[in-house]
Amino acid sequence: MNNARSFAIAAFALVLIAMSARTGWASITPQAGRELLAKSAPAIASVRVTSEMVMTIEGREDTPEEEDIELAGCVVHPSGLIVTSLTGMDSATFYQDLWSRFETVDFKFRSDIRDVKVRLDDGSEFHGEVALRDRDLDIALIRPRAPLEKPVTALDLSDPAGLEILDPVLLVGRAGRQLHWTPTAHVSAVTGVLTRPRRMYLLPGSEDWSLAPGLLGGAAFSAEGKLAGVVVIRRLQPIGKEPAESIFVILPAREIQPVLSQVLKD
Amino acid sequence: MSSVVVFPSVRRPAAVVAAVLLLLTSVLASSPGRTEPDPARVQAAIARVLPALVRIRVVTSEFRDGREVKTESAGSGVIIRDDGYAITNHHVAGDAKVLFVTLADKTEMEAELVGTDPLADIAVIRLKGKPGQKFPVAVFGDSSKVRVGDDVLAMGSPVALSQSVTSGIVSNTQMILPDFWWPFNRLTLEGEDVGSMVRWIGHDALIRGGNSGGPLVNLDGEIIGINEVEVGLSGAIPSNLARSVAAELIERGAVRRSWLGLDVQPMLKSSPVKDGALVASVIEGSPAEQAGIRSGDIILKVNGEPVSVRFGEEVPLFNQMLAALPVGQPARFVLLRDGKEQTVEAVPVERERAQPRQREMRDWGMTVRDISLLMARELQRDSRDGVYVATVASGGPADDAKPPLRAGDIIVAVGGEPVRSVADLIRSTESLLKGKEGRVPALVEFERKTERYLTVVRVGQDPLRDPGLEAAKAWLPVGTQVLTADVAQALGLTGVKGFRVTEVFKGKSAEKAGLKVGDIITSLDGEPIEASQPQDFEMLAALVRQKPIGSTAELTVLREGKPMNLVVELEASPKLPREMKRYRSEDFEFTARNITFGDRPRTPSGGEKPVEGVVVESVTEGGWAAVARLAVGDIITRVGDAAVTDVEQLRQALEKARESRASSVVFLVRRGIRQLFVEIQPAWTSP
Repeated sequence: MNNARSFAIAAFALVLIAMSARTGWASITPQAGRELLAKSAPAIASVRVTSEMVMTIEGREDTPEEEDIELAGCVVHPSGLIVTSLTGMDSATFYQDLWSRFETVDFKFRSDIRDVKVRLDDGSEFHGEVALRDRDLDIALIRPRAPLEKPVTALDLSDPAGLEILDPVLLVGRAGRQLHWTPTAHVSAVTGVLTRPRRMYLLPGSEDWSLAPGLLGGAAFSAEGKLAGVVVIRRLQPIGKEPAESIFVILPAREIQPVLSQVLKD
Repeated sequence: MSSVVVFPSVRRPAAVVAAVLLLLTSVLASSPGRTEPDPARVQAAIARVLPALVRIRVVTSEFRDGREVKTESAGSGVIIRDDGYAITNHHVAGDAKVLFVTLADKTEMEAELVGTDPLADIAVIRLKGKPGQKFPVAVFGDSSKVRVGDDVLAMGSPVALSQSVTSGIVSNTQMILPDFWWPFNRLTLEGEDVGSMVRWIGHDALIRGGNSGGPLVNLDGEIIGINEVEVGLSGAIPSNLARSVAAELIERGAVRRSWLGLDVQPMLKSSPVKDGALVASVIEGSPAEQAGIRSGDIILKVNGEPVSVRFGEEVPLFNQMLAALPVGQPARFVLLRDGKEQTVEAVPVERERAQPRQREMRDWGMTVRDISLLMARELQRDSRDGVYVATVASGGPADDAKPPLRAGDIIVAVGGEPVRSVADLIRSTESLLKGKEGRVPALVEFERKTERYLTVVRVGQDPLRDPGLEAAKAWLPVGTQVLTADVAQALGLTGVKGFRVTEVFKGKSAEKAGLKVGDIITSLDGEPIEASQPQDFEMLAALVRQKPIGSTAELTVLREGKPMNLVVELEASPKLPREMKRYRSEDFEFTARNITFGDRPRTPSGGEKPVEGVVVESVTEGGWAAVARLAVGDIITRVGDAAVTDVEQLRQALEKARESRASSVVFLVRRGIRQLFVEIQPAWTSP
């Protein structure tokens, strides 16, 4: 089991680093990118999720394994509400997909979140909790467990940019604690516009992702500097005997607003 | 190379699966031909031991990731006294929280740990029989008389099977792990080098995970060893060593050994001296050092007895001899140093465990242990004062500190007050948290290698509340399939795109609106549904989810080729398991939640089968529910006489059971299409 789990972790890491963007012909200049990064960084947080991964075989639980995941998150409300990738913070989904090919044994994975910690650009930290999950959109909304002392800088969801195929985008994220929560950025381009079942922007795959960690859960901006969406994972459901796969996409910002409203209403 | 050494107790369940696969593959291997022993003698030997042979189920504590975690495993043992004392391995039962023993007549009863000795890997347990109950026993033989080629029987519970016997011959009476395996030629248990004290009886009777602690038996029906390892050959602890250790464990609960603080190695090939034991190292501050023994000395005699350690096989015997010296009484050593003999007297002290037991400090998110003398020396410390951090939980208070505490750090002060032991740390934690809620900052001074650090740890627990809410979305209560081009053509609907209804949920809005299985949905609110390939399967649900809950949707439907419009109210999607109310029972050690729409079995026509109960969501490994085999996904429908339809009723039923302190509580459980009774016997330890 340990070997299999190690393999799964390694494979998950590979998925995280193997899919993303290629630089080159985009029209976002380094200077423009840096300015946009500096402007948006206060609203890009680092989210650290500690969970217990439990594997169940035919209804019998194995000993839980501790998991520690760091990814980026976008502050979307001055109260400290953060949106990030649900799959990115809950790797049980990934393990489940990986083990689903063992058809003769009923393996199930569950991830019980024990702690969520958010670190903001100014170095302040707060403990968070998952306020709402949306599997359709692959987003989790995280709110502070105790009200923050002062409002925090948030991204503006009210006037999102629409993207078309080959449009350049600036992906902005934040690395984890081993990289001192450094803001990260990557210039990429939309390689496809998915319209079914809902609009999402595809990103190209490239080893370049390893140069810019922390982009999952981060924000995507158009060349005009407007927020286009959030980098999340789109799970490709198996058709026939094909295994499930996961790819990185940009979820349009306009999709986030209704979910955010549900949380704010509460 | 590390994988060649196996302690054959068995973990579950992944380990069981692997072990069974191993077992199956080994069936194909044939054993070499040899003269078979007299069947009558074999039967007689088995008959003498089998009644005393026990299978042991153990719930053990493991310490990792800053926490104490319970796990289940299985091993073997044999009863050696008629009042219920049984011998087994330390690695089977030494860290047991709970022990269950199954006798040869299939009777199961609880047992308790009497004492354990990681250095010899021997533990003794006592069966909790009825008052005055007498048990069948097996007797020890003299392992010093065992010869290579003797017929032997390995008895125990391989892979936790019931009492079983395999046969073979003694292959090696002086089995040690060879230098060739270096650096993997050590078997350590909790810091103790088992091979420094034990020279195994190697044999070829098959043993597997689960045989650990079971007897190796000669054809006179005597225990000549306790099976412990599988290293290509099977390996048993000689009975003479096992018997003496067991006797001391029964008498004192622990083994008292002498310690001098010296290590020996075989004489060098280049040495002109042939007999004696070469002193390799002398621990600083140890009795050996105080007596003036130095590295490089050759020990010629101990208390007048000549010693000879020319080969690795002789090291364990020498160590056994030193360990048996009387504690506190001077021992005379004749040494050869620089070609001259000299005599010194060393006063052995009582040997302590290499590593004191760990303890979970939940308020700190770490596990810790006291510092033994040997640990202090290995850590290059003069003092044993302090608390050794063994493991740290990610995201816990110790890990959150800046700088964070790490495994291997030694806490020496909290809040300016010295911390000399785990007991001190517990006291200072209680004092720190008294009358306070949440986390309390504490200034912590700790050592990391040779440096002294300061950090602030926010001590205390602040468990996360995970409301687990999912975004509420609209739902069309039907099951569907994409109308693929092939299916459309076969139905005479060439060119039509959309979804075919495969199930209409009973009592829901779609049924009320008149939708039927076989209907083809071609548009939603006038918008054509362009689904024609299997990968479009999410399209209808996704369109629906984008509409408000409670709104109506106009569906264009083809029924038997004729178009019609149906207006359906879009319901809120059923709640997911994560969102359901749940109840955690600390007495029974499982969590259950209310049943969801998706949990209930449905008939092909979409009707729900009336299953009422609560769903078991998690079962703590090694907990009482797990021991009784309650499974994740089981639906509990009754507890004792009480019907259970939701977690509130479950709570009431379990609290009633707690009040009555029932010795066992019977759960009626639905598992798939079957029903079974699960009998849980909680400990009722908490108030």
